[in-house]
Amino acid sequence: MPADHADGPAPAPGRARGFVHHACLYGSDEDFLAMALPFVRAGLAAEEPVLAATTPANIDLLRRALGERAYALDTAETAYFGRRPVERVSAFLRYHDRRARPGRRMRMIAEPVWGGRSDRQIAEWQRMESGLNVLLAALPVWMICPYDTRVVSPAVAEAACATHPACLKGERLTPCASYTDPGVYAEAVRPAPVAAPPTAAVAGPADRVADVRRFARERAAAAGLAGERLALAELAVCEAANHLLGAGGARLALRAWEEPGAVLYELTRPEPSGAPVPPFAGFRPPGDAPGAEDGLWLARSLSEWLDVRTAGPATLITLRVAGPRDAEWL
Amino acid sequence: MVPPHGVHRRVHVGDLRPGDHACLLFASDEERTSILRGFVLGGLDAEHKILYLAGADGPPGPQALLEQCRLAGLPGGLAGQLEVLGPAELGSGQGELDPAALLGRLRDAADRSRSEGYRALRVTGDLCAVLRDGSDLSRLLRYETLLATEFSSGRTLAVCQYDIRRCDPTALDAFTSAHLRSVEVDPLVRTAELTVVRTWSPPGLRIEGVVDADSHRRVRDALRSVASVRGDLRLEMSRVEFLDLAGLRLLMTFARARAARHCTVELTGLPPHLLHVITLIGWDRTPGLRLGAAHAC
Repeated sequence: MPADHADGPAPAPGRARGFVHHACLYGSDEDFLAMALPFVRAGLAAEEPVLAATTPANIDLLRRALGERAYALDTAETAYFGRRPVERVSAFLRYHDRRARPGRRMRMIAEPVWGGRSDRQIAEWQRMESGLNVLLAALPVWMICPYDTRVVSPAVAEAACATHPACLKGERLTPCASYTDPGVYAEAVRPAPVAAPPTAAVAGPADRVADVRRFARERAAAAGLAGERLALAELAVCEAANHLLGAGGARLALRAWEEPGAVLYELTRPEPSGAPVPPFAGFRPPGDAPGAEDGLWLARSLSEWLDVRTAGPATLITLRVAGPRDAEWL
Repeated sequence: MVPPHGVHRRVHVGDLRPGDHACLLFASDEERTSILRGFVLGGLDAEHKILYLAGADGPPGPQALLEQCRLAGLPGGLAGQLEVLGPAELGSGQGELDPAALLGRLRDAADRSRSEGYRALRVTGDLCAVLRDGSDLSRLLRYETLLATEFSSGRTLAVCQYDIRRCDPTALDAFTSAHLRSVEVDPLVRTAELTVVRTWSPPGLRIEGVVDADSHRRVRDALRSVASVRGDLRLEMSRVEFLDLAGLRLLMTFARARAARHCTVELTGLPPHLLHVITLIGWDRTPGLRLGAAHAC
């Protein structure tokens, strides 16, 4: 039985339907090709757009094995196909927008980079892997996420089964028994909260974004940010604040402090004004029509990380902005 | 030629005060009318006498001046407050511009306006229209210099009009450098944090200051006020201090609407961080949008 029929919801080749998300744990080049080659070949044969966003080594393997057909394959070195989860989601959506063909499905091999990541980053990528099931649910995309068991930790490999509804080995598909509802998973796999030091600068309660803006600017300048970097930090904080202030009558307590390499801002809305912030809010880039989460997307995109959490009746957004010593920005 | 607005401090026409000697560089009749209207209304409101130095194609009398400024509907009784000097009265006996004689006339007019009970005299006129040759040009420059000295006394204010379509660029540079300020139309929006000014050459808006949740409605209204302008528009952004995502979306929506009419909206002088954000979202591909040079004049 072909792989895309094995678990029921996977669509027949060439027909557009909703998002299908499979993991593939592989331990050798042969294992990778056993999954990737039939997947890519079938897509190309059905004239579907096919993307391989994986390691340079895997792209090389795949191209050699495809021969002449490799000319029709879209590829991206995965480390540059979205450096952080919010950028990764944007990269998937951008690929879809640029390559989609009416009425046709598309295929993606999307292998995240796990090596060398901090615990916080791993948790954020895992939450995103789970979130894709929600964020891309409406798209006619069949995505396979390969995990190289020679490289990733057993814990990361195990988590793949909680974030993908089914696992593919070669062309054989097995439902994942540990697959977890994305909302539940996102709550369970939380990066550790950061605690503001007693020396943090404090302001508020603010009910106007102008007050937040002045505070954000002042703290960024005090940390040594200037020019474009200062303006982007100010904008990130203001967009996060706009999200919380969107509920009428809301007020925000503000804190900011420095850590090596970064400036951190914490915005606290003490009362439960407005609807709770959904777990994957602000991962989709703004579309043609205004969306309630547009500002949060921009705040996420301009921050190193942004964390939304609830504490009793309060909602907190913490965001970390790269400091003046961040050499990527030099 | 691009008028050298950059070398002047700009003054909005409604902010003119006695003692000001400013130039009005215009490239469209609509622009001149908008500013003249503000000039006359401001004068009437402040109980100033208004003296118009008319060239050959200037208004022949006070009523024509009011019509030119689209103020013909004002209540009567203003005749004494407005005075128009025709071309014959501006020159010497030979029809040449005579700086000293003209200045004498202005001095007399200022004295007369005081004795008539007006608080000050405001003078305007398009002297380019009386220029005939090169020697007239140097006389006009002499007149501007004398005027600058004379008007620092604070009982008179002058706005010297120059049609940049008709003036020789070199001469225009000389005339404009005789003024410390250039006058422009009153802003469409003026709050503590945001100023939006209509511009004419090219047509568009200049946005200065902060655009956030408190000012989206005002920016939308300002954009609407130029929505009926035909052709391409330019939004000058070099003095934008803060523009949030929703404010940026207003500009993108506006550009898209213009694209439907086969026109573009150019954003010039964009601060680099806003260019970064537009590109990050992918709005640099918005139909009808052109991203001009950063920090353009």
